[in-house]
Amino acid sequence: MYEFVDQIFVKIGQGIMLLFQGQSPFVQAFIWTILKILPIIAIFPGIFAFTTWAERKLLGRIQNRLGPNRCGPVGLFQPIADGIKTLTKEDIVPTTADKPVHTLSPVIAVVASFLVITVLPMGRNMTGADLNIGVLFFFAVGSIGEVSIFMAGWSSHNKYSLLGGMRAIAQMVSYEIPFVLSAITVVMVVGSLSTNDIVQAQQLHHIVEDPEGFSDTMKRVFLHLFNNVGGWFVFQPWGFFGFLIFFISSLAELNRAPFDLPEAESEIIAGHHTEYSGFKFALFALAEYISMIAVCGLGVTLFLGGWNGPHILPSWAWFFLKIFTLMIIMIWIRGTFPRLRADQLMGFAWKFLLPLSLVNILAAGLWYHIPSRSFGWLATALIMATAYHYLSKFVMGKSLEKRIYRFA
Amino acid sequence: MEYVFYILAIWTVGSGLLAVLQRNLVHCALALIAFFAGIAGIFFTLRAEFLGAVQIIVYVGAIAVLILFAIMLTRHVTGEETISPFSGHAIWGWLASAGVLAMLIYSLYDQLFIMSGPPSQATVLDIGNAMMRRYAVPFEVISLLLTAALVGAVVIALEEPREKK
Repeated sequence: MYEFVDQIFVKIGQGIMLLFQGQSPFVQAFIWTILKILPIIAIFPGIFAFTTWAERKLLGRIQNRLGPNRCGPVGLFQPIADGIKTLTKEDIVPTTADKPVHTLSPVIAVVASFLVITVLPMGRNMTGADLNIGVLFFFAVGSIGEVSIFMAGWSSHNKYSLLGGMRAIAQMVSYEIPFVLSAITVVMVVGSLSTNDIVQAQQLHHIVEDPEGFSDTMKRVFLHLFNNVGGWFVFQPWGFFGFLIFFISSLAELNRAPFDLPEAESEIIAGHHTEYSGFKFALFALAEYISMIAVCGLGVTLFLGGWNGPHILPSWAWFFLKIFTLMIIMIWIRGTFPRLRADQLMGFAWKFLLPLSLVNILAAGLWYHIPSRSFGWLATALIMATAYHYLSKFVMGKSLEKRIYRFA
Repeated sequence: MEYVFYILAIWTVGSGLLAVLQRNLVHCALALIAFFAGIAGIFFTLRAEFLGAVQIIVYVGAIAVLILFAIMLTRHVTGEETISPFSGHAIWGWLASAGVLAMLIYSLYDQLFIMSGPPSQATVLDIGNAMMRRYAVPFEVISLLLTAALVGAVVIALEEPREKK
């Protein structure tokens, strides 16, 4: 039963393929590719719509408001209303704008954000494109997003847009380094760039024997949990710090609060998409949220065990559950933290995250080469804790002194 | 597979021409990005996925963005008019590209017209081994050179310390 529910989408795909059995190999390959692309294009915009609703609702709660509550039950149909609104809105292009670049920019943003999703394993045997360089592909295509933001900022011919574009590129280039370096630890330990291999490496079935042999129910449950959860890299010291670095720098890569300087509404009126209206603006929003889902998906794949989980839920359900958890944490952070100053932003990336991720790579290497797992765990945890302590002291500098507010 | 190659080839040559012939500097840089993406696509069709991804990371993600950033930091943010490739000033550019072309033909002359079966698939492991074992010294020399260049750039860009009055 579990096997069936777990593999239901794969079975459906194979069932559809049976209809094309007599066709030429070219047609079959074409249909199989379409079958892999269609769900990605159909499901993720739906998740995007739900996320915008959840974000507004949650931010409303955090700020002691109700959030959208007019359309449908608890405002659930708000995304549909938003979609109709953006579709019918007039598309305004400034007369001085560079029209081809202005139009192309949101398209490139959307294409890049959808492309990266294909390499994520969304469940057992459910990877869109199982490339042997999956992680590298993700980072490569992800970096095209920077270009689209530059194009939007530059072509709008608006000083706020240009400022936003400049801020975005400076920020994304800086945070890309800890972003990639934190992922490198996983690649080092697994010894493969393929996302499928990384997820498989986080199962412990090959270390601990199968729990079927035990009669004691408690023991079986425990071993089952251990097999499916214990192997997640986030439970290793280097994985924990790697995940933290990855998550923080992914917030900066996505231009989300508290790193939303490129689109700071109160300073540069939404930065690169100031001059966008109607459906082009909706495309930017779509690209932003799809990349948010994709980056959370990569974080889940690298550090949180991918689709691994206890067999009470099918593998794909675990994957999406973990993604939603990460996204809700992102929304929570947006509602809680104030925006960073530009110098704090750069200082944090170069003085704190970068050295910490370099130490983390060292720790991952040590952990890999120390034969005793428990000793390796303790030693690397000690190294990382020391590095974290001294680096944070170094970054904080003199600001640790107590502030005296005279007029407050 | 051949159709894909022809589409990519037309794309690459077209965007390469656009990068040279357009007058607006930013448009040239954007066309250059399209050109790099086309090259990466050709690497992918040759089953050299690693090279393709690295091509995008290094050229689109780093070099092209650096060019764009450099343009943004100048006063001619709107895209300065470039010199036409057919004007008298461009002779040095033509000479330099002819030199590069001659060097490429000289070094690749033996393999230029040979197509011997499907290309062998270099895995990430092979590339890593080559870089860290066989070519470790050249690799380190290049990184040292790059570091020196970086330090030099920082030293040049540093503000002169003000003299105390």
